[in-house]
Amino acid sequence: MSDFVEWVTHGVKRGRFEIDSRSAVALSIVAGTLTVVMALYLILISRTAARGRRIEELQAEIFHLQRENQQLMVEIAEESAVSRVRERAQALGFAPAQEMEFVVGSE
Amino acid sequence: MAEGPKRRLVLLIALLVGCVIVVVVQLFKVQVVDHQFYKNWAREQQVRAVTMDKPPRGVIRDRDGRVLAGNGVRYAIEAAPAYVIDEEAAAKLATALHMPAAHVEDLLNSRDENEELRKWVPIAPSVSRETGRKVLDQNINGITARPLWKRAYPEGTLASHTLGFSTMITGYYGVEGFYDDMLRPKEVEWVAPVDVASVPIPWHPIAGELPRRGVDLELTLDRTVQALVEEELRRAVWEYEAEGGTIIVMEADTFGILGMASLPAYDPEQYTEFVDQDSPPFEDPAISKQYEPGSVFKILTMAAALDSGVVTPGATYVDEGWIEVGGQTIRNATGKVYGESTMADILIKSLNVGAAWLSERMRPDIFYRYMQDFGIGERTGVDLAGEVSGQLWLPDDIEHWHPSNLGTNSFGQGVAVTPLQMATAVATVANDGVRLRPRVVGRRIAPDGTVSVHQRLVVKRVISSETAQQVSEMLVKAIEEGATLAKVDGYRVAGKTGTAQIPIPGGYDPEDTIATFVGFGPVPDPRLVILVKLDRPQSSPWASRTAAPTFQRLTSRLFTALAIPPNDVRSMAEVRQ
Repeated sequence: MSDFVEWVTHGVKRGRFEIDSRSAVALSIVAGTLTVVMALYLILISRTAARGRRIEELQAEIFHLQRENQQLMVEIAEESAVSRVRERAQALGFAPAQEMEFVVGSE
Repeated sequence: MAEGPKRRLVLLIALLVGCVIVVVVQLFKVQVVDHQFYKNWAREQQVRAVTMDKPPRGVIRDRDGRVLAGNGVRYAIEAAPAYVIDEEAAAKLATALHMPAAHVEDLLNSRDENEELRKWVPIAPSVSRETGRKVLDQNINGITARPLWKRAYPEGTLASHTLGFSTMITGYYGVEGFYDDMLRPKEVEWVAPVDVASVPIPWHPIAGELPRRGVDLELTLDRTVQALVEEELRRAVWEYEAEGGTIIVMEADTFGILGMASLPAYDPEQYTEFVDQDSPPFEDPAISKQYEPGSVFKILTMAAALDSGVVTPGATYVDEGWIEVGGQTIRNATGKVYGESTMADILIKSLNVGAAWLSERMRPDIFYRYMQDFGIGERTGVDLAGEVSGQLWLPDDIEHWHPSNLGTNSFGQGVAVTPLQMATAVATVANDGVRLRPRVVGRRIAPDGTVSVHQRLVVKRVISSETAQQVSEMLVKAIEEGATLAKVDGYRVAGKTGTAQIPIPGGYDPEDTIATFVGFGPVPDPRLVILVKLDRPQSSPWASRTAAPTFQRLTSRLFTALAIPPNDVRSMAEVRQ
């Protein structure tokens, strides 16, 4: 018990943590590599997130355009409905054809 | 080291070790004992079922690509009251939605049973696109405008029975009902991680497939033909004071339905207005309501007799004004005696005695075999929801069939058909004796653009080409010498009237009738088969005075609209070629 207490109180001696220059370089390389890997990972993640967000935006845009397209299709159909066309034709003075004349052509 | 500091150090270490033990115990509890509970709790917070925007239902068009059923956009206005921080929110919403501000305020402050603000409150379930946009533009925190699809029928009531109608999810009746699985869009839902605002985290892979819109359908229906059919039907019902009616126009060589209408009709966009009625007008009487066809059935009896060789076109019989079949006396509708009569006379003068004489000569086995071949008593197989099979009792059905049925069936009594069944049977004669399956959809267009064409489907050859031509010529005479009000100037058309009594318990209605005219033209090489049926016309009970002139008016307009040249022009063109 007393050895342990002694280690706690005096065990941390400066000399034990002194490292040589080669070890320091190696340690720096490892730390640097880790930093680069982490940075790359963060860049990749942020880019993926940005792309994901962009895909979402495009998807939303597709749905929006799809809705607009469908709505316009319906509006065009309403404007050109038989009843509407008939009203307009009558307003312009047109009347249903009563007789048709067929002309027999030759080739 | 002195005794005091040493003791304090030991105490400190013991305390730290104690803390570590507590932490370890707690960790053990959280991670091992209550593992599943916390896992589920975390999952509830981290992930949501995400549904991508719902794609539209398939569009239904006519044969020229004109939209008959499409998809309009509406918005559902919803609120998450806890997130609504704008004090003016209620007032802004009330203005945009034309709702009382106090009501909106109440909705935004509504609380659940625990007296907490509700998480979600519907403000307006379905508002117009313009209103939805207004709400979106206001950009109020906690208020969302969720887009919705609403089925739209831009032509109003046009072809309502053929189209059917669709709710937000399911199609009912007609094409909407029959092709619901195809028209319905494919939705995509998957579980995805979300951020604190429940927004899906974008870098998580999305669902493997995207939502897919429904299949588009292109009908054989022609919008112009349909409009003319409906106009003439309305006119006939009004002019002859009928209760309702049906008109069917088919292409003679494909059995594709060009126009089909029944009255009373409805606006499929406003279907909810009819739901509470005792008998809502959703069922299409052309395929779902059966009736006794009356004398138009003689066309089939004559075709069967000629084709089976029991009689020839030149054969005659002596009409004594009555005949007994299976113990039942059958008389002509006019009560007259016609003496020596030809086969054509049976159709021209619509002789019940002649038709019964033919069926008796054929005997049950031949007669009913032909009737079944013509499709009587079975569904035509048309691609519309709700078709019924009609009713044809056969001799082996001892409970229902009686020998006298052979006589009455020959002129369309004691047998029930749908208008489409009858039109299909007569179209078989017009199509050189070959019965096809009638159809409404001509092409299907998948979301990826793949086109599937519905080919004409031959059911069977019922009568020979020669017989078909003989019957056609008799039917031309039936119009020229009989139902003259059905004559179309410049064209040879074939057809037959049918004035059918309406069965009631214990017999037949003594007053009301169902008036039918079915015909085709121009002969030869008919292009159109047209059936007109009027229910209980009051101005006259006779088809020759109601259904026949309706047929004439409609046929004349259709020949013009479809640019079908008159017979003399066709002959001249053939000579030149």
